[in-house]
Amino acid sequence: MDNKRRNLLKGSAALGGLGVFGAGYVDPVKKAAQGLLSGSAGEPTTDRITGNALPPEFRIDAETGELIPAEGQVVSLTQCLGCWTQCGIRARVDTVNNRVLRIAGNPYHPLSHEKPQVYDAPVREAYTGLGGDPGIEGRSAACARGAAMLELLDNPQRITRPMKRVGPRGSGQWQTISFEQLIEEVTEGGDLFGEGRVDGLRAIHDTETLMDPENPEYGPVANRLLVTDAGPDGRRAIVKRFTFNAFGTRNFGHHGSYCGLGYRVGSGALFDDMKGFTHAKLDWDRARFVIFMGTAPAHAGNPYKQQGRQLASARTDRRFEYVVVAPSLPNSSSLATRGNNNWVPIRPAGDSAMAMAMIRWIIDNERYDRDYLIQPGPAAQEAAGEPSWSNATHLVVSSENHALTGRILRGRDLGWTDSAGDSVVVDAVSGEWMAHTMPRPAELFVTREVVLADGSTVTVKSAMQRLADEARRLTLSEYSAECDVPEATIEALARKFTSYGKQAVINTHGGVMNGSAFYTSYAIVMLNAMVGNLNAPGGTFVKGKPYTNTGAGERYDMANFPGKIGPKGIFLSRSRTTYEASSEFRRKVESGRNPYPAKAPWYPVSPPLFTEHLCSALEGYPYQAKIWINHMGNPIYGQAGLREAIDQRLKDPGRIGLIIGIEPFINETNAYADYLVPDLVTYEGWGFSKAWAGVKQRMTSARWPVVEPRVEKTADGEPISMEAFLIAVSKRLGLPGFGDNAIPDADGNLHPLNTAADWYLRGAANVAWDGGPVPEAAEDDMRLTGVDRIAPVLQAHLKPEEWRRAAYVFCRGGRFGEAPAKDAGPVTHWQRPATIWNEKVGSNRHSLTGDYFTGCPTWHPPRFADGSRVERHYPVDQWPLRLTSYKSHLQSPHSIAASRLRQIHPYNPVGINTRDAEAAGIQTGDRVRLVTPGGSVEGVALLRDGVKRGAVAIEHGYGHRELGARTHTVDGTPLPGDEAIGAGVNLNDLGLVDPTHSSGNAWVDWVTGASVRQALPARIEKVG
Amino acid sequence: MNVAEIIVPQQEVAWLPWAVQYFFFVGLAATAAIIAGAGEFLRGGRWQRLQPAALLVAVSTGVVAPIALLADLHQPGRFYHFYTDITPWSWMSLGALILPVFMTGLIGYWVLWQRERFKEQGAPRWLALWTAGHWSGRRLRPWLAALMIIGAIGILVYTGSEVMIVKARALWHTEWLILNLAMTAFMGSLAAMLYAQARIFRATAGDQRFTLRLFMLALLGTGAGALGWAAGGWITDSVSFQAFARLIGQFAYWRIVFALSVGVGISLLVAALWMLRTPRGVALSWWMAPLALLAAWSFRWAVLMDVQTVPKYGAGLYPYHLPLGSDGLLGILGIFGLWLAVMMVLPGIIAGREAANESMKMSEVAHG
Repeated sequence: MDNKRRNLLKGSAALGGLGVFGAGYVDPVKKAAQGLLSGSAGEPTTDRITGNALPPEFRIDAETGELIPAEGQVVSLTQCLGCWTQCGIRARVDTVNNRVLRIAGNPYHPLSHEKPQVYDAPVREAYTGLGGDPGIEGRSAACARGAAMLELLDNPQRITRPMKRVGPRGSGQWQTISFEQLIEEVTEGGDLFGEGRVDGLRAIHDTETLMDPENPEYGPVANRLLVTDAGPDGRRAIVKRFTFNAFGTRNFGHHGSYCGLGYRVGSGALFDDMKGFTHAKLDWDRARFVIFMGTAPAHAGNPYKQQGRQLASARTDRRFEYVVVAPSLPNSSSLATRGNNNWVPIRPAGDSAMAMAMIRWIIDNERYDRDYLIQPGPAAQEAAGEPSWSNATHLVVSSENHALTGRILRGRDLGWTDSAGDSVVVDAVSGEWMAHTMPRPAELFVTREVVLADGSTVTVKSAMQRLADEARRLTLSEYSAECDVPEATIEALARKFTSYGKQAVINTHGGVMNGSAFYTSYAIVMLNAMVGNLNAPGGTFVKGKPYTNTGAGERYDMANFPGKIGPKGIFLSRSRTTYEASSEFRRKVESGRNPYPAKAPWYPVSPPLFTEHLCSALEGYPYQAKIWINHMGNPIYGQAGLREAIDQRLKDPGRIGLIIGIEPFINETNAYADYLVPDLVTYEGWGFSKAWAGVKQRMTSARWPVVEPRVEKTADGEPISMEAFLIAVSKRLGLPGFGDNAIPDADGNLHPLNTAADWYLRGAANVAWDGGPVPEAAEDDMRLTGVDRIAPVLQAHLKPEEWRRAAYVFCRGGRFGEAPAKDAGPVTHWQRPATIWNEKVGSNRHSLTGDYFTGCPTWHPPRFADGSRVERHYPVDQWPLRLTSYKSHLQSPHSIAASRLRQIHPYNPVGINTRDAEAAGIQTGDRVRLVTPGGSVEGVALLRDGVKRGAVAIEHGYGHRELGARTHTVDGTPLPGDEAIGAGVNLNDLGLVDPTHSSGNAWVDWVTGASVRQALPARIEKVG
Repeated sequence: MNVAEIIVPQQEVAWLPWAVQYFFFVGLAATAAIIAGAGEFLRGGRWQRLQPAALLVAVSTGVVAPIALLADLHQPGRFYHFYTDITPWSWMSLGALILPVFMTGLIGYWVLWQRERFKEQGAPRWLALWTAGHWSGRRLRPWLAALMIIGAIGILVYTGSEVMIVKARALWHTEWLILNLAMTAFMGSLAAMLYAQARIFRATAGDQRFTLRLFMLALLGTGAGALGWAAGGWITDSVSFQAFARLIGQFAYWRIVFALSVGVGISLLVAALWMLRTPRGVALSWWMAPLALLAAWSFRWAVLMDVQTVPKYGAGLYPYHLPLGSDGLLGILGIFGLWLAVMMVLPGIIAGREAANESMKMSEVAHG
């Protein structure tokens, strides 16, 4: 090799080396240059261990035990909205940079602390108690989701200015507009989108004129406004005030009907509460055996975080056994304490059959709590020392087609003048008629012919007899075949359940949301009545009363105001009213036609249903809605099959002319909006919320702006929010109850409602006074919690004697009653009976078939609106699998934008039973396509032994199309979507459209209208 | 029953692959500098004749190392904070002071050493400035050599210490780590010198034999360090040894790392012993250089990168995927590329007329 060639070779090697070096070193150089130019290249180090980390919010002096807060930080107690449990949280706030740094638990709050701090304790004491290491007892924690939700505050996907669509509806093209333009356009209407005239709110604000004189029950024109929200996030009162009492529309809806409505109505049926739909929780401190059927404590279910601790304590600290009955094994089961708990896999939607089988076995073997069930009323209950009473002995008119069919026989029906309103029972001793108010037991099983006062003869049966008849419609083996749980298991569970007296409980929730949700739920909760555990120590209990806040309080009457309107007419969702009372029914009868079926189902025992509102409003049955204001509601994501059912109709501005979405983010539903109104996240705004159930003491959580809001402000300097929007709209339309002179105080003086603070601070005064005034907040309390920052606002809005008491409530994140002793048993007692036969259910007919509903639990398979079984439309050989949805313990439906949650659990796999998957040649990690008659999704398979054979389990909270998953265009600039937000699958994209529902709605429970997401028929195939 | 869910937060690694490059190159530079420095004080013998090779290794790696270090700062722009905010309790901060001392000693010494060589042998024209002036600088040389040696020892102490000091990483938290890093660095640099002597300089068989002996000593030192750590750890139940024993017990990957370390160490030792026996063996000894360098590099990878995949709390190992870009593969290759470029130029300068003839054959080297 000569020197030239050698040098050439060397030079090439050197150049190559330098080239690779250059490529590899570009990034560090770029980083360095950026750092040096932007001045972010570093700061002096202040501490050898913690570096330049912010100082901790507190230090506790090791010698004196004194709490020393850090400069520039406060710890504010407020409320979480990571999910609907709405726990109390403590937010560590950087007051210099207006940031929330960390979320943990509020030590005063019953949902965050198993032994909450005494309410009267100074904040300093409560915070000092969090220091050191007293173990779990001293800890007040937030869940992973709650801790991550602070990311939503400064999320790039947030909207902070009002926006108006510029493309077709749903196209994701927006322009920002001023708040003033927003109010102008939505109230006055006009050719807003270049698509022709759009009615504004003013055009339909008419509470006098009937919208349809042919059908006067539809009510006034104002009913053409539909207002919906997501849930009771602590701000609903002002939405309802606007909707019902100021604008005067009948139509308000919320997420309940696609959440757990089937359960709630079933529970309400047992509790004789078809309005509030009370539900009960188990007394964790005393219960000895619990069946969780379609619910998963420590995994999901409200109150989520509290139940986690209660379950952990119960199964380790004392004799407590439990069984989880579910198609997929949740985190509730524990191998670590395997001796005291078990998982019973069940076919999706099999719960109804299993519960009825247990009822049958209990009745056949006389294992029910006879001493409880034979007490016909409160007097007998007291005489017998029972914790509650039931209507098991009351008599049900059981002849068909009588005016009283399905009703409980009353004294007046027999012509009694005394006790005319009392139920009639059969005296257990004499066998004679007796009023249920007598302090004596009554006959439990009765079947008699009786001549009524009007001369007609009817058959009456005791409620217990009716239940027994219904339970005996199927044999145990038939039930077993329906739920695919062995007879022996059912028997063993029924035997065990009836072996602990009143210290056995069965609990359920969202697992019942199948195609016969109501009867599933009613059957399950009925088992509690069989052991008579209501109000009993170790049994079930109802929650404590919340403190009145933005309602009719002691300081301000916020429920009433001059000019208040009462809404008229029937709901869009055809609920809480009967088809038989409609003009349509009358016309059909008058013209001699069979009135059944109605055009589309009616739901006589249900509350207003978001699940039916939209389809009804779009289809115009009973009538059309013109304008829809949606605050955070997201049925397009949350209701199974709804997207498929109404997507095209919702995009058509000719149906609902104006859609206004209010939310901090663009969710799947508000993506269809014409206008988007920014809103506050929980750390920025005011509100009051209650616990759902499971908390014995009285409690109300309060939230307040612990940081300055990120949204833009109105011309008046108010942050743009749901409240600012409703107030501005009301004032522009001149609606009562808003503006000056809107809120009466106890002396009858009127106060203004021009800002959110006007509303919530008066609510805070009500909280502070309900059940006796709280003390005034100390300076130290206010300083430590940052309430001193809002003290001027409090002083400006409240009376001198009020503001420091309101501050006391905000300093503690709400008001919480004294925590009862662990062995106290239920504190708040349910006074009404356990209704074995619910006559409100039993006396109504199904509007499509004309059949009476059964007033007690009975078995129905999942069915469509016309009563046909699912398998008739979608045969098992084509659709062999059944989907089951379960709650995520990390994601709620609206938490996906928090990136740290996605880091922990980036997507939800499709859970398949190992043997089913092997038979289909599917391995963990394979891409699979899940297909139902309603749609198909692609996901990643996860083989699990913890999934029932024939079931496919999907965790809820993933598969988003919005909330940042999709790219929107704002003022011509893309707001880029993040693929990671859209990861995973959403079971609701697989929901079915009911082929027998004339309006083409998504499949809902035929009794209650609750969304059907359990036991959807499906098949699975491997992709590629 | 299969485990259905793994819940771990995603974390960035604290030490990037850049750190492995820095530790590798600075270790070679420091140990080679010590040997070169020895030649200054032990004049007229084998140590002095080892100087060209030692300086070639020391200078070529010494100029590359700080460049890798800079990139490992995550934000290289803040390097000047080491000097505006002196932090005496931090080994890393002390290192920022030691490194310039070492570099001054190394480059200064080399410049003077080279000047003298050029004066003796004549410099290439493009480097004529190197010999400009009439001063010899001979009186300054011992001082610079001393500075270089002290700096080099400082480098070895501080790089080991800044890793060892982290209590939260049980595996690192042992004084033996300092010794083991130094010994493997000696192993690497001596192997590189063996290569340089054989392939670049006209080193005599005797000189190569001397280097090979030193190399063997480094191997023995490495072995002694490992045994000392293990035996000491076993006797005193040190956290580092416990953590290692747990890893070996639980993870096949770590068993492989362990087996490879022992296997390569023993192989090199056996090979070196065998080669020392005959002149032909000595002539072949440069073949060990790639393996020894790879071993020294891998030891740093295992210590710095693999240990970071061991959870401080919790079970299993974290998955670490080497990024392909700057903070990963490209960065690693880039630094090697830079070294390659330096090595295309530097030998020509240092070796001068001593450079190995391009047509020189293996046999000639062996018998030369």
